[in-house]
This record gives sequence, C-alpha cells and structure tokens, in this order.
Amino acid sequence: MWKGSDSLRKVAPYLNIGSMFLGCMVVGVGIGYWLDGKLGTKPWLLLAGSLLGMASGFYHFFKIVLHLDRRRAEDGDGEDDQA
Amino acid sequence: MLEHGAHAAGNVGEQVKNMILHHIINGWEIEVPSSHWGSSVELDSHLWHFQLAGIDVNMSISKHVIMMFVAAGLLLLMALLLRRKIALVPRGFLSMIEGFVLFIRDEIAVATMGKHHAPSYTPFLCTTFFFILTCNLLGLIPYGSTATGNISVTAGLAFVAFVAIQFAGMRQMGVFGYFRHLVPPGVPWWLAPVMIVVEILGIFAKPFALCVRLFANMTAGHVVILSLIGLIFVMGLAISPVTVGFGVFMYILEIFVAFLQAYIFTMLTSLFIGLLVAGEH
Repeated sequence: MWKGSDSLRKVAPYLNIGSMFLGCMVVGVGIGYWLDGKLGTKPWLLLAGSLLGMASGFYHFFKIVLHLDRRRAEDGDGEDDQA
Repeated sequence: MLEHGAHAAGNVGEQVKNMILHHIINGWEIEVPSSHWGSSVELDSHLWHFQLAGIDVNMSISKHVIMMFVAAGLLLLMALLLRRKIALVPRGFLSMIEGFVLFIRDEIAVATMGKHHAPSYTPFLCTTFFFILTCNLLGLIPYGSTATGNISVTAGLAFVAFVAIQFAGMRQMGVFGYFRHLVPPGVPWWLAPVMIVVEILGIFAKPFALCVRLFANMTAGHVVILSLIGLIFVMGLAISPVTVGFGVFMYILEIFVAFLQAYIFTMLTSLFIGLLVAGEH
C-alpha cells in the first residue's frame, strides 16, 4: 500500500454511501410509477413513492454513517461488541 | 462538395457508433486471434433456443458468459496452483494475493462488522472481490470483453449479494427476529407502518445501488476509450497523437477503476451485512 493510503482507507467507506441515497430514491419512484400504472391513480402514488424514497434514502444514509462511526469507536477499544 | 463531406462524416460517425456498441454490448459471436476460424466464432446455436410462456428464449452461451467462464477458470487455476505453495512466509505472486486477502479481512470485513463476525463472511467477500476484479481486468486485454459491463451480469452479482445479506441477517437474528427488526426498537407506534415501508425500500435499494454502480463504471470508461479511438476516424489522422495519448491515460485510469469498483462492491456488500449482524441490538 502506498503512503498516505491511511486517510484514503478512512474515507473510503463514506465515499460510496451516496449511492444508497440514489438507490432508495430510484426504487421508491419506480415502485410508485409502477403502481400508478397498475391502479390508474395517475400522479399520487408516484408522489408518495418519491417522498418515501427520499425519506428512506436519508434514513439509510444516516444509519450507515452512524454504524460506521460506532464500529470505528469499538475498534479503538480493541474488543468486539458484547453480542 | 461540403454536402458530400458532411454526408461522409455522418457515415463515419455511424460506423464509429456501431464500433463502440459492438464492443460494449453482449453478443453471440466472439473475436479470436487465430485466422483458422476466421476473425470471429459464432456462438449462437439453435439447440439453446426454446419457448418459455410464449417468449423465445435464447440460452446460447454469449460473449460475456465466455468471459465469466474464463474468469472463473483462471481463479480456480490460481487457487489450485497457489494452494500447493502455501508457506509460512509467502513469496512472489502468493504474497500479493495474501496482501489482498488480508486487506479484505482487516480493512473491509473487520472494519464494517467487527472482529467477531468478520471471519465467517471473509471467504464470501474474497470470492466476490476476486471474481469481479478478474472480470473487470479481462475487459482490458485484447480480444477480451467486460462481463461486468453488462447490466444482467451485475444484476446477477447483486442478487447473490442480496441473498447473502438477507441470509446473514436471518442467521444473526433468527427469521422471526429479522422480520421484527423491520421496525427498529424505540420507534413510536404511529411511525411503525412508515418504518416498515422505509426498511423494505432499503432492502431492495441496496442491491440496486450495487448493480447500477458497477455496470455504469465499467461501461463508461470503455465508451470513453472507444470514443477517443473513434475520433481518429472522424477528425483525421492528425489528431491521433492527442487521442492516443488520452486513450492510454484513460486505459491506466481503467486499470485503477477495475480495482476500485471490485473494492467498492465488496466494501458495500460487507457494510450491508455488517449493518444487520453488528447493528444495534
């Protein structure tokens, strides 16, 4: 490993979690759009889906960030979690 | 004269477009270096065509399937050859592979799920990493093609990751506990229905993010390189030093991206497993 890889190693997990936000949005909008076509409730389920997708994206984003933070803190102690 | 030139340029542009698509898209013929069979071998066989629910399904082995076979074969060969050379102090190629495996164990598995859970998922993560890496790199050698630049292949890989993630969650919490976990503890009752929907969205968004990221990254780089080469035919030979220079630069970047995307796929899979097995209890 090259010099200075330590900072890259620390930042690497955080670089990729933006895609989680995108994934939630796309899946939410997609499901809303698909259900709209099925049920004939034109704009409403699409809107609900996109809102839920956005909320879900934020929720999972913060969940992952907090999880990584906690893991880092536990690694500092050198001992695994009590589970 | 001008009109004729524009028309010719349009034709060249069309040809360049077809050339790029030919190299990116999966097909049923594969180029071979030997002139014995001509320049390409036809893989489409009527033996593998059948009707399924009124739809004509072609299960012939395609270019990307061949590339995945090659990748799997190479990895199997590597494993069998290196197995005999295992020593306390590895040397040469073996030490490089050991470096990768240690990196996956310590920097990916342990960092995302802790020392207790990491050893049981490291073999799966190593398999994922090396298979994706080999597929990515096979696309960069002559006569190769990038299997991971095909959305069906990455969707398949993401499906494997999806199954692994759910399996890990159910193993950790039990099947009942896994479904109860869809409502995180400490959530007020009126928020529970929303949380279930949000969690289920997340379950499907995870493999989707994995799948699209790998596909887009592997395809984009190849399109850029092929466009740079195609620019020579569109704008004339004088531009070739510039485009070839940029092309080589992009190629080196592609080697980096091949490693990076394999790492990111493994990292995210490990992170999603870690969220379930080492999350809050």
